[in-house]
Amino acid sequence: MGTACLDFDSSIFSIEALLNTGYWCADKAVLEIKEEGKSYKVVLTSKDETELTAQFFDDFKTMLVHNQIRANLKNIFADIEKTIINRAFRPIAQVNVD
Amino acid sequence: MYSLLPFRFLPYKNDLNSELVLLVNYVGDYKIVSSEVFSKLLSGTLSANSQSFYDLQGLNIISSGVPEADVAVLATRYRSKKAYLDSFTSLHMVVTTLRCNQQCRYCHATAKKEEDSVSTYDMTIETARKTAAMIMQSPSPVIKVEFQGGDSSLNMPVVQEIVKEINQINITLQKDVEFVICTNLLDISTDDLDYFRQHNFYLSISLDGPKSIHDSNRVDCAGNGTYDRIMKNLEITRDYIAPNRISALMTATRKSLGHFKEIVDEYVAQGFHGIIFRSLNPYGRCIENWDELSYSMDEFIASYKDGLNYIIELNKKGISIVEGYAKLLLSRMLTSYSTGFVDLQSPAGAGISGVIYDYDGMVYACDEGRMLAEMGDERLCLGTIDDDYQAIFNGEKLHSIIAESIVETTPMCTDCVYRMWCGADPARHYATQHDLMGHKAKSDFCKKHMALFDFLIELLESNDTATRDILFSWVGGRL
Repeated sequence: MGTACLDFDSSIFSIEALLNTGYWCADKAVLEIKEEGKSYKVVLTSKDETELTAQFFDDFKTMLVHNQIRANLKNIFADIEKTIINRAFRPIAQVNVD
Repeated sequence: MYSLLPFRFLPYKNDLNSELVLLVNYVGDYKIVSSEVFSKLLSGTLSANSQSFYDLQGLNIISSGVPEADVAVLATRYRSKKAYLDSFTSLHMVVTTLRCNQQCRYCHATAKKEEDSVSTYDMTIETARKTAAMIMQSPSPVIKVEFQGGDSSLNMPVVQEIVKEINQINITLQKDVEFVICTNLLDISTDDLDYFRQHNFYLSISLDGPKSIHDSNRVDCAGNGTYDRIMKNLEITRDYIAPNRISALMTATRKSLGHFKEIVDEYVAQGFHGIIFRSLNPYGRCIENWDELSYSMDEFIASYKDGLNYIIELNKKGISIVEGYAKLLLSRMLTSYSTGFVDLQSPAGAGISGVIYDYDGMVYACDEGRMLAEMGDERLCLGTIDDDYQAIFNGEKLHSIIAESIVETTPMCTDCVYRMWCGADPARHYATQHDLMGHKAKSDFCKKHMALFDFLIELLESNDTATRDILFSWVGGRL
């Protein structure tokens, strides 16, 4: 069973981004995270008997960067998305047309 | 200076190494930009004089002024997109009998044989009347009653009773009511057809393809193919029912894969102008024959692409035929229209857009719900026809199903670039993962839709203007 340990700087990557990336690759690997000091220790364990490939790790790191961008954007968009939804579903006044 | 408005992104074609990035705004408008433009966008350094700036501003992805005006536009368009929620349940499916004169090998309803007990598997007149009454309690001004089975035409007294009751109630309610019957046409009588004509029915039949493909799975109770008889009856049917009121559906099995062109040719030859490439439903008898019938989602997607490409080529030659699912997805990608589709919307259409009343009076949130019940799982059962309307349609059971079918709040879906075009299918995920929400990384439903969106974008972005014109023309005619 393939297992690998990775370190990520916790000032750059959030737990949310790491968890989302773990969710994304859940069909291939199990992700465990532990915070140690200023880094996250990530252990990836292959779900079948095969070793985790170099391509998998490249994809994982790229996906993590993308998910961190998404997490950052989510913070930017949170209030405005809430405003859009509230405005979209507020009651609309009846207008009677003769 | 500019501010960002909500959007989602994904490397183009889900290729993590792509130099292009797909952006989709909050209401489903998309644009493909270079990774360089994307980086500048995020860092706030996109030039205000660049074409990219103007494009993204026009798409409400950036705002160079006070965002309030953009918020107003986005809110209005979002409301329009979700307009299918306004009226509540409009599609009401009624299983008049579980008996059938066919025993199709992939039957997801696990239909019983025609000679099986009428008293056990047919809806009674009393249940039919209660069903009609409950249907008309829906607040929706538009009601579509779709008769299903088994084969619904084997219990015409109940079909007629429901039509009579609904029309009676509708004298005062004045809803826009439409009747559809799903039938294989195998033993349809001219009396039945005359009745359908008088009451402006739509007919939905099944045609899996040319004879060799159709007969491989759609057999009668003696195990014989049904193609020849159905084609003969289709010809008779067209003497009674207008062509635009008859549609056909196909179900792809392993025998169909790699033969979508022949299936399309069959549809064209039989005079149909629409087809939907439907993959297998993992319920009922289909599960019993799964090893023989099934295929991987990658295989289905490959066949789908071949089939759609072929349909586009036929359109270029002046042959009018539309792939219905592509048309639905394109409507979401290219227009502001509301396109409710029970199995692909958010919140899911289960119960709130469509509901099914079974022959025995049980009420399910969706067709798949009754199939799961037939397999011993009542998770999607909302109650019985003897229950109060509010208990069924505003009860805890339906609330719990809907709560887990909102893509805006589902892991992976909430961040997905295709979110505004996609939807939830809690029944499918419950059947395959035993979880209404489903883990999308393991979901064939998710894989299929991401692949289809990628493919449609690829077609729209190609230099083939004829292809783009054809796809846009499909969207112009509303589904």
